[in-house]
Amino acid sequence: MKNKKKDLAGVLFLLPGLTGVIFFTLLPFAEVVKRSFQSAVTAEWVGWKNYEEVFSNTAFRMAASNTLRFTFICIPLLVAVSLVLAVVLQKLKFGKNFLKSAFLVPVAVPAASVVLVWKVLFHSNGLLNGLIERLGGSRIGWMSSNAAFIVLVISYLWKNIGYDMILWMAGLAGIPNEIYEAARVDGAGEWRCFRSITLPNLLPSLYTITVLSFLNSFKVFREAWLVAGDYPHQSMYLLQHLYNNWFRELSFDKISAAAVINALVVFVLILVLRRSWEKE
Amino acid sequence: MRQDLKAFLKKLCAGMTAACMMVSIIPGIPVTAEEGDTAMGRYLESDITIPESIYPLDVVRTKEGTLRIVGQDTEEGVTIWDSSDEGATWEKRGALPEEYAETYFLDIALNPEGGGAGITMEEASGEAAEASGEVDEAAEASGEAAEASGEAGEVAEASGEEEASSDESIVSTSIGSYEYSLVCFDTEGNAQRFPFPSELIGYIQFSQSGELLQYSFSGGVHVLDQDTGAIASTITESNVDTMGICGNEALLLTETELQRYDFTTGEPLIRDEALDDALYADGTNYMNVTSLGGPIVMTQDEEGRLYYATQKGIFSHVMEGSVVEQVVDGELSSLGDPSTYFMGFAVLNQSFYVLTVGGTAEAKLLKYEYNADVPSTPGQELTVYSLRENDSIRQAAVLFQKKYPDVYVNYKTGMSGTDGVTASDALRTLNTDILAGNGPDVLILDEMSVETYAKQGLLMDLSSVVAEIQDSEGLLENISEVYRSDELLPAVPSRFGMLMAVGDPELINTIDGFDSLAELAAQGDVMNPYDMFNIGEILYRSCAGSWKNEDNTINQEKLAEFVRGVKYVYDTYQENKSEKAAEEIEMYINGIYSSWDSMEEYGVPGDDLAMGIMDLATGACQVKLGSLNDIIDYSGLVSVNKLNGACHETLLSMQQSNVFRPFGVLGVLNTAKNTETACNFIKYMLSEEGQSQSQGRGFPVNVKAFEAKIYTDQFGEGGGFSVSSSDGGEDYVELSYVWPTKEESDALYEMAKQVNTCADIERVQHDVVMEEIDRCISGEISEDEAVNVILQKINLYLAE
Repeated sequence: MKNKKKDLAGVLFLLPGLTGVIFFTLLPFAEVVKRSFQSAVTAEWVGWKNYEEVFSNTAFRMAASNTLRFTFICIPLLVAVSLVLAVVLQKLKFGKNFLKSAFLVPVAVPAASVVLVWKVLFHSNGLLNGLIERLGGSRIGWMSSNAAFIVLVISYLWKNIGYDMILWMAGLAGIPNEIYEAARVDGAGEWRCFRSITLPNLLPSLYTITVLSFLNSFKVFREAWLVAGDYPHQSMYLLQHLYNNWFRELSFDKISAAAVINALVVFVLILVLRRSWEKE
Repeated sequence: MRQDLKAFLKKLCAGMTAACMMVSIIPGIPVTAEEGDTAMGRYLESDITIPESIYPLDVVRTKEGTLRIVGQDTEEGVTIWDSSDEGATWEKRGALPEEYAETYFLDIALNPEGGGAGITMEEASGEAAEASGEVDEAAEASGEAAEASGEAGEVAEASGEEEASSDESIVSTSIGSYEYSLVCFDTEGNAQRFPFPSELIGYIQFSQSGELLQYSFSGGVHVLDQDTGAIASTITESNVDTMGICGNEALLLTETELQRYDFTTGEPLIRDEALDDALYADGTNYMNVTSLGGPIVMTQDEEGRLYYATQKGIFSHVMEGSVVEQVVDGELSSLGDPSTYFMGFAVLNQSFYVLTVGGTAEAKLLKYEYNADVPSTPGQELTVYSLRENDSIRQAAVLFQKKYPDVYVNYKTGMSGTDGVTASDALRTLNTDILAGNGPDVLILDEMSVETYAKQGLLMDLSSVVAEIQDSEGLLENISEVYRSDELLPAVPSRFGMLMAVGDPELINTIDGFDSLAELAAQGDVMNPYDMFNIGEILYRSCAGSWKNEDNTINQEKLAEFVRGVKYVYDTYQENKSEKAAEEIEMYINGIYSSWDSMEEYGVPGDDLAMGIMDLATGACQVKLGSLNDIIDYSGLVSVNKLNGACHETLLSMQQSNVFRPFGVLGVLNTAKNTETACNFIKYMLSEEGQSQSQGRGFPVNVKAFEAKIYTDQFGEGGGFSVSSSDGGEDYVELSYVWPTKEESDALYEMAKQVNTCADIERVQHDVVMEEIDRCISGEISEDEAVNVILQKINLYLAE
């Protein structure tokens, strides 16, 4: 009887959140799935036509490949660099708090301000090119060449590294100091401690940090769009650019099909990640 | 027991809170009024027929309770007319003496007590001008500024003999000396003339009790003595944009606030908060932008209640009261027409009489009479959407509403130009609305992709609508049918401009591509500096349509030819331009260009030929490229030809030939809530009536309206206006506009029939190309780089 009451309380607590998820995520997504089989405006049933169109669309293929490339380059880089920073910062005796705050500042900087900095730095007549010319080099079209992708990667790392670092530090704080002390008594060095104690104990954090970094990677579109508009250099043309432009062109059919594909890929990736984490 | 009660109360509280939250998130259900509940009564607008021969300049309610207008007549000069039946019939009361028949009046105001006054402007007699010149020189030599005169006016003899004018009433300009006078007259027309100081020129108004107030272009406000023409008292010296009078109050509208003065004592009065707030809502500005009429006009009724009319409507207010009430909604009447300005206003028997002037300087006396039998708001709503504010659409909406009083046209624009919304943002918002079922009924597809909307099946086939107008009045089919595809007509341009080269016939006839254009550019000042500075934009529309391959990609060769051609012409001009042209370009860059560029926001295309007519007249250039969008501009070109014998026109032939620029491209959404009304709106927009009255840029596509436009001499016997401009040195060139002859109009008609290629108006491609062209001609990137970037972006766009 008591258990039944507890179950009911649990369900009641879940209900508001679940209702929100159902109304604001699941039902709209079901509508998107339905629309992916319909024409854009007249809602006629078209079967797999939209999916065929999306897969044969060169813009989609380019955007998807850029997005995947961006994800596979950025996520490992971000996770690794932020971990190193977190470990180094953890060891510091002075200036730890200041540096922590400094690394977190980019998280708080609004996208519009970041864009201004981008423009000042990466414009063809901007600060970086000025510096390069002074050093005897020739100008680089930062936003109109393949360098645009590197700029995008650096921007993403700069913006998110502080956040990931804080997550790692929270994980690091959860490792009991006694384990390190015991290992050091047994003669383990810093690297051995890191490899055999820190890393295994941080594995639970790795899953969360990777998923969060992955989801945050979609937000880099804001800066990319604000700097280069609807049609940036093709190396930084992401899926969100395409969705944005399709929306402008009323291609709701293609957006729906692409969104379903996108959701499936994300879902599979997260499942794979979870599976590998569980194995570990 | 107590604990149970506590638990029950907690549950009750939680339950009620949850219920409240649920209720608050349920979207409001609109309460639809039953038919029987419809509020009735509205002021309806009607035109009052005024005596045909006169051009009205003011209207008042006289103390006898009649309506009085004053106007100018080409034969009799200034005449005064009364109507004792609320404007149904008019009886002439008087006329100013013959000597004023040819006089130009800057402003005339009627006195409700009888009579009136006017400010005249005439060329100064030789002696007076000379005297003035001497004084000016003397004053200049001594470094003394001319004294502002309040006591300058000596009373002239009522006989009409002119005395030598006082110096302050004469203004010497580069093209002549002008003398100003104040003429006070009674109802029968007996007049007195007083020299009027030039620094006071501006507008005059009478109070209901007959005092004469004046506010000058420089912003000063004075009370004038009608017996001497001199200043009786000064209310303020500056800052006033316009003025109204109510009782003994002068209501002075400055840039930021309403200032109240008792003009009998000159004392300022306390702020009228409600009126101030209402007048300056949305940052309204009351600066007079035309000498024909003002942005606001005020009057009072028999009980002293203030009424004012603006483009927003007619409002009433009891001075120092807390409410400003809208009596007539500008959006439901001609008042909302953006080309409407106001000359006079009177209230009589609870009806309003507003004297307005429109875009063609046509004056109308509009009557607003209360009708208790019509619904207070129109029964149907028609939503019209355009990306940018378009005065001709707003005007058409007003006129359409007048024709269909039961329809309210809700004109929406995507970009205000002040809120940072980009075209892409606006289009996404529009598409969201369409998808949500809240889209507009009529789309103005300027700068939008007709193809995109048609491909998605969103645009209704307008074939039957167009056929109806075609059969009854005729449409220029080369323009109206341009969007027809697969037997469907999803959109139709309501107006068009023609892409042309104008100027010296020997030169313009050589233009057949970039090389020939570069040859002209090599001759320095032959080409218009603005064209050369903005050559990419000028040539884009006569080239871009030719770049698309059949497989929906961009033809690299054609694009490269355009980019290299533009760069070549630009560089050639830069190498050969004169110092004077360089200075002009510097001017464009430092100021004029930026405002010129933004004119597109106000419906004046950046490649409008109107912007180069005076350059052709002064000889600053011999060739001008661009879009001919108006018959007045054509008359300007004809006039230049009469002036120097070297101004002809030919359709511009670059990568495309016979290109026209469509304006006001109309489409009806298939999702329109009221397709019948939407189609009626399209019919109206294409009809002779709609096209004749609407004053937007571009020639009408309706044959009858087009013919009327080009063959009807709008200047009349008196001829057109004159414009003067410096020839770059000390001399001025005056261009007097003349109306095209029948042969010249025929030639224009032929060109209108000849154009058959629609310029590319789609925004995405244009913006991408222009961005890279700018970088290319500034030397930031090479031609090849520009071509590659454009190709990559446009192909990406097309691949989407």
